[in-house]
Amino acid sequence: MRITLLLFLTALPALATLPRVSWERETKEGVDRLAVEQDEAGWRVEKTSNYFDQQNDLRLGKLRAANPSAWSEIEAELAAVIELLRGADRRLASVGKDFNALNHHTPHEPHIMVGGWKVLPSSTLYPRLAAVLARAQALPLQLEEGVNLEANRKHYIFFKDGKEISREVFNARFFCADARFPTRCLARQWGAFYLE
Amino acid sequence: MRCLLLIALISAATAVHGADPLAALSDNVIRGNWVEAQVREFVARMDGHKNPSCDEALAPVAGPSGATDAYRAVYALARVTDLLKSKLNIRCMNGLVQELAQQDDPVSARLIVTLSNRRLDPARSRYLFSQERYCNVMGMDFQSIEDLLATAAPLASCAALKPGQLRVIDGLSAFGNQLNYTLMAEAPKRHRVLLHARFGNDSAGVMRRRVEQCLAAVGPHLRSPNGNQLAFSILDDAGARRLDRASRPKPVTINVTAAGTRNHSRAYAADIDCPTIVHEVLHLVGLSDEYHGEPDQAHCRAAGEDDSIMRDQNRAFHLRVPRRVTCRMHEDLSQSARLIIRNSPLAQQFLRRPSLKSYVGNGFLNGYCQAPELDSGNRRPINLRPQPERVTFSSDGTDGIILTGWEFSTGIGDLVRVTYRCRCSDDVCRRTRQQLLSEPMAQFPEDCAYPLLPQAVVWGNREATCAVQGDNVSFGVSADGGALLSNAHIREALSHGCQGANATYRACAQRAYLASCGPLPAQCSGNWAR
Repeated sequence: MRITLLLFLTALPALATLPRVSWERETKEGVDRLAVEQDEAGWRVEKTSNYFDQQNDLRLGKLRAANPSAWSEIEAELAAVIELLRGADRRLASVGKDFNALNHHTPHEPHIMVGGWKVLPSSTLYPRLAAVLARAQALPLQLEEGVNLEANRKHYIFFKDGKEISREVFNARFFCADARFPTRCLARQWGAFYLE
Repeated sequence: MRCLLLIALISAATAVHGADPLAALSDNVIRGNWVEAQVREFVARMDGHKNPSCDEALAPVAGPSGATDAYRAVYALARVTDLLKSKLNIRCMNGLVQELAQQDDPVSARLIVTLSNRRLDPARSRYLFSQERYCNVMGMDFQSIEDLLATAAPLASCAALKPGQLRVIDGLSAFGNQLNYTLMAEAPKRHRVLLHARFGNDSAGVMRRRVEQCLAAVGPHLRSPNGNQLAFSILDDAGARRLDRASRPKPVTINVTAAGTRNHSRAYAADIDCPTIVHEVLHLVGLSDEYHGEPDQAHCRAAGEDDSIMRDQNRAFHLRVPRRVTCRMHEDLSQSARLIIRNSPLAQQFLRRPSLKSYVGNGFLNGYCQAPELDSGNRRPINLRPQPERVTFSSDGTDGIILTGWEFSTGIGDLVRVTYRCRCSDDVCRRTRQQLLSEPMAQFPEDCAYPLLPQAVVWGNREATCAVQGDNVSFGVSADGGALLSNAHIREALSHGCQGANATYRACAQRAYLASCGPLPAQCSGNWAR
């Protein structure tokens, strides 16, 4: 029975998805993250803050690419960077190291995780990956589950399965760290907005 | 940055060979561009040619003042590897090897092996050998020299400095960040840290002055309970040059970033405050963060005590450092509300009391509380005696807590009752709830709470009077005047490189940025950083 199952599983076509790429910055209050990930349905984006936004987008949570075919350039660039990192690990093995072992951590410094690799701002791969994430954000994305702060900052609108499920008054004194902008405002379980 | 360093090294190489015209160029970037152009030229001549002719391969190359002999350019390029090996610190070297490892060619492979070899750290030889003697021990077994130096350097680092003596620190902290400073003993229990800081994006020197003023203002508090004192001097390039070469710390670059951005030890936001400056400067002498690591995925971090400057610098400052504060009235306030604040000492007194957010912060409110309920029917004039408590806490009988406050209305300037209903869903909340119900303590102290906004603070100033000028209210805030640093903090800054010293602190600090590890050792719970 087990052998039959094994044969069945190995006969399935392999799903060749790229590793998740995540731009992150650890803070006392939590992790600011903008991540993209390929899955069976295409591409999805996860945001826990707007810290890495290259354009104004007051949405946090899980977003899905509205037009996955527009992501082919991103896919190619990511594949190229990952190949470089794999190659680096292979070559560094000759001196008993790997890419991550040569990293030096500076507290709170932003970095990009791709697969298991941690790419720091000092690396030449960092701007390439940052550009990939910026490009991903510029493509049309649909909020599947999460929160959208209205442009007039009156309400938080909560989404599930792509539809609005509830609203809450955006009370800056309740949600925000400081009584004046710019400040960091929490958005229930979805993360935080940095608001000017 | 790495590129500039490389360029600087290349320029050093060319400078050694005095006849090289590149050495005369003062602009690093222009010089770097010329070097790069020469490298490209050599590669173009030889790449793809099985047997390039000697004349073609070694023909003069273009330089800034005309054609340059090929041997001069080759000399400078070849020397770069040697200089990199002998001069680069481990952080830079590892970054360089990371970049080389991405190139799939035999040259990179050879360079990776060459640059990754163990090397004699020049700093290690300082205590036993003069440079000359070190270079002349040709007959001595290399491994023996290394072993000897490996033992000698930590021993030298353990010796207490006598007043007037200096020690250059160049190495990695317990948690792996690069340390570069010079320690100077001024008295038996007083040491000065000389930091050679280069501030990026600070051409007017605003950040440098802010850092210097902050460190000077809180100087008396940068001490430990056992009486050790640490002072800081932030040197610019000219200041560093005034030290003799052997005592000169390597420069540390700190970039100035946009206001509101996150600070770290190598990047200060333009609006960084004094408590955070001190916290970040202390990272540069080997102190790790001590706040709970879970939010930033440093799951192994051992938390320090609540009032440690490395755990919560604002709290530490608020408790220890007296200050004079100026608060500005919020733009939400009506004219009549402003008049009340200006003219009523009772109103000023009320607004200086800890507000609700001093106790719980917006993280608690966002995580566990419903939107506030404003009881517009329950109002009272702010001038009426006795004044109500600004915040009270009561249990709802289950796992919840009710926070009741009086808020200053921005319209007519009276007090309105506000209620927050909160329910605990985890132990963090339950601990806070327990604390609030038994012995409320302001965890997030703020001197200017809404409807006042922080305008300025002069740390170390003890003038107590309250003064109102226009929309600004100034007053003194007392503090216990205690030590901002622990004994272990100062020990760590003084004993870098001394094996066995400050063992508990280092054992715990080295976990500070790890995401996975074994269980927390017993010594790292509680007051390990004391």
